[in-house]
This record gives sequence, structure tokens and C-alpha cells, in this order.
Amino acid sequence: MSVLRINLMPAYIAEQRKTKAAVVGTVAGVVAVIGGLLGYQFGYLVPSVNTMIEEANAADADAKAVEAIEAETTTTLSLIKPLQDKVNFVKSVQFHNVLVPQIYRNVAKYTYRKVEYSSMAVNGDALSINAYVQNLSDVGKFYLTLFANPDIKSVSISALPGWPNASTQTVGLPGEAPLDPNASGFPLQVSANLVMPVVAPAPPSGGGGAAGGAFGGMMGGSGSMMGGAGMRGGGGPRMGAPMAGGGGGAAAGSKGGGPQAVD
Amino acid sequence: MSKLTRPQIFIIGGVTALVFGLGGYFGLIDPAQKQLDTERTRRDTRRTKADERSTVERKKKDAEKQVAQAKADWNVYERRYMPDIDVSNTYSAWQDLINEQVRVLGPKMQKFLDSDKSVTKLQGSFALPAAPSDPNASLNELYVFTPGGVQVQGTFKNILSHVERWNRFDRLVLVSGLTLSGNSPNLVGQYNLQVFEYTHGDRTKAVAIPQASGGGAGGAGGFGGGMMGGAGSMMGGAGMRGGGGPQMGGMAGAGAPAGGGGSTMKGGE
Repeated sequence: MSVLRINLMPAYIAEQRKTKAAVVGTVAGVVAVIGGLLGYQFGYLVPSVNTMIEEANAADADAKAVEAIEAETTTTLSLIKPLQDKVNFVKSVQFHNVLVPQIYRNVAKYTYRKVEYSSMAVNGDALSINAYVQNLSDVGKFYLTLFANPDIKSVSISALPGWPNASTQTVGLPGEAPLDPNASGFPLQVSANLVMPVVAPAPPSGGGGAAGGAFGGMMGGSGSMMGGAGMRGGGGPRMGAPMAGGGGGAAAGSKGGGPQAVD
Repeated sequence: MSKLTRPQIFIIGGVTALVFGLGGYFGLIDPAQKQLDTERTRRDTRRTKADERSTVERKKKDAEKQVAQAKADWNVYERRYMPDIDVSNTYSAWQDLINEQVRVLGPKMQKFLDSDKSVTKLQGSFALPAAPSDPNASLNELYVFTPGGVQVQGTFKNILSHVERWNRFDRLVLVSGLTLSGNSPNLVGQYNLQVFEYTHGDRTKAVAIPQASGGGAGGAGGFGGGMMGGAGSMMGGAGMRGGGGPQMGGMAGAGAPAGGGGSTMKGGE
């Protein structure tokens, strides 16, 4: 049996109840929004941030350890250069000490056998020679032979005699008369440029200290160098002679059968 | 409250929720999210660096090997060519340097030069400067000596061999300016020598030996070392004046300029 319920209450009472329910619902919604935000913030984000900071700090510590090792490596590597510089300097000195003799040997090797030298000097890339030749035809042979020297990139000869008696001129070295009055021929001044300049090695920078010492005397010897005329006139063994023994063959071999050093 | 309609309540609630929502997002969540991203990037970057550890350690070992090799290379030359001057000790370094300059290097070079009988020595008297009087000045890494020039006579081959022979000397010698003149077998070769000597040891560990100051030097003004002593002696003048002993001016007389200082002091009496 159905019961019919009839609300006889005034309408405003039902309206108040609905309004109250709406207020409660709205407040609950706002609280839910705020609660959701706070929950996300403190329930997820903040712990995540804290965890990430810890992980980042741990990674940072590891990275710093790696960087410390890198710094040690750099410091260690910086020790190598001074040592290598010193080793290279010693090697350079040793090389320099044999370089000039080797240049002189090659000059002797590539010297036409009828040419005499009275002096030889190297300064940087300039090789200067005071030579003596018997006649003009020897000059050409001498020139071509010397030019075959692999150490030399250019040669120039000066002080060739003019007319008259160019082929039988009897003169001494510059400024001097020949010792042997029967000697014939003329002096030459030879300048050549070396392929490899001779530069004395300098110690690596950072080295200190220096001490002077005795110089002198050496340069005074230059006068005696020019005294070669006397030695030449004596007709003794020529400087070129022992060295130029195989000169012809060497010259020919060096540049593919180029200049012939023989008569 | 009772006068608000339901739509009004919903609107107010919605707006309030929106305001709190936006405020919460921009005030709390967004900064935290950004911080999270920043920290994540930092972690990843640093982890990438940290992951290089094995590579870096290998590089360090390689570097240590290279240093050991470089040291070994240098040790060969150091043992062969260099005197034993340890600059980590000021006093012993000074003594060793004096010993090297005064007793060892000169005679050794002379003996080495004279021992080559394949050439005739025309000139080859070496001279070396005095060692520094201040021990603190003997801590250089490198000393360069120029003991002099040499002139020898012989054959072409012997002179060149003679020059190259300096590589076998037990000091590092640079031969420079080699010139040849004359005729073989009386060829004359001349050259200059330079000696390079590296010290060893860590000079930062060396303790500086205090030097006499100006006042102290005044007392020693009689040695005339004394240029500086001039000023110092003026300060020491009172004592000397009272003692009535030998006068500063008199002592310093031999020392030339220092004498001036002495007499100035005397004039002040």
C-alpha cells in the first residue's frame, strides 16, 4: 500500500537546505583543490626534489673526484715538458757538435781534387771558403763538384782574375804573396748557402744562472788563418787532398752522374 | 549567506578554487618543478663527468708512465753529463758548486783536451769564474760556463774527430764557431766551448741562508765589501767612536768608495 507524502512545509525551508548543501559542496570542492595541490607538492614534488638533490650531490662528489684526478694528471703531464726540453737540448748539443764537422767532411768530399783550401768557416747558413786553384778550367770543375754537395743549396765564387794572364796568374791569397814563387794559379773566395743553417742550440727557457768565462784569443787566430798562403806555397799535403780522394765518385753518385770531378 | 543564490555560491566557489589552484601552482608546484629539473640536469651532467673516471684514471696512469719515461731519459743524460749539485739544500749546493767550478770542471776539461794526442794544442787554457759568494745565489737550475776557446793543429780528419770527441766528455759541452785554416797536416782548427750544467733537486725546499744586512756589513767595512757598508757603518759609528779603536775610515780606506762612508761617520762625531 502506497503512502502519499505531502510536504506542507513552506518553500523557503527547502530552499535554505539546498543552499546549505551548495555551500558545503563548494567549500568541499575548494578544499579538495587546495588539498590536491598540497598533496602533490609535499607528497611527490618535495621528496622528488630532495632525492634529486641527494643524487646530484653524490654525482657531484664523484665528478669532483674525477676532476681531481684530471688535475693531478695535468700536473703530472706538466712535469714532462721540462724534462723533454732538457733531453732535447742535450741531443741538440750533441748533434751540433758533429754537424759542423760533418759539413766540412762533405765539403771536402765534394771538392775537386786540384783545388786547395786555406780556410773554411760556417756561420749560420753561410759557408765561406778561401780556396786556391791552378787554372780557370779547374774553377768550373770545382764549382760543379761543390754544387753537387747535398748540404749546399747555392754557391757563389768571387775574386776570379781578369785579363791578362788569367790562366797563369801568380798571386797569393788576398793580401799576401805566395810562398812558392813558382806557384801559379789564383785564389778564390767561395760562399755557399747551406740547406740546414748551423744554429747553436739554446738551453730551454726557465734555466737560470750563468757564469762568464775566458774568451779572447780565438779571434786573434784569424791572422794565422790567412797565413795559409805560406802553407800552400810549401807544396805540402793539401787540405783538400786527403779529403778529396773520392770526391769525383761521390759527386757523380750524389746527383745522378752530374758533375764530374775528374779531369 | 541566506541571501546568496546557488549559482552565486557556485561561482564564488569556482573562482576561489581557481585562485587557490593558480596560486598553488605558480607559488609551490612550478618552482619545485623547476628545481627538480635543475637538479636533474646537474645530476646528469655530473654523472656524465663521474662516468669518465676509468678513462681519466687510465690517462693518469699513462701520464705517470710518460713522466717516468721522461725521467728515465733525462737520468741517462744527467748521470752522464751533469755534476751532482742538489739545490734542495742551499749550503751543500753552494759547496758542490764551488767544488765543481774550482776543483773539478777546469782540470777535467784541461785533462780531456790534453789527452787527445792526435792533434797539437796551440791554445786551450781554460778559465772559470769564481762561484757566487752568496750561497743563496747557487740554487740555479742551469749554469752556463764559457771557459774559453781552443786552437789545435793537426790533419783534417784528426781535427774533426777531435771536435766530435767533446761529445764523449763527461760534461755537456757545446762546440761552436769551428773554423779551419791552413793546410793539412798542419791545419789549424779553432772553436769555442760552452759548458752547460744542470742541477737537480727541488730548490723550493732550500732554506735561504740569511745574509748580513747593511748594519752588519758596517762592521766588516774594512773589507771594503763594503760599498753597502758605508751606510751601515754610519749606524755602527757610535760604538766605534766610543771604543776609540781603529777608525772605520782607516779600515775602509783600502776599500775605496767605502772609505767615503767611513770618513762621513767620523765627521759626524
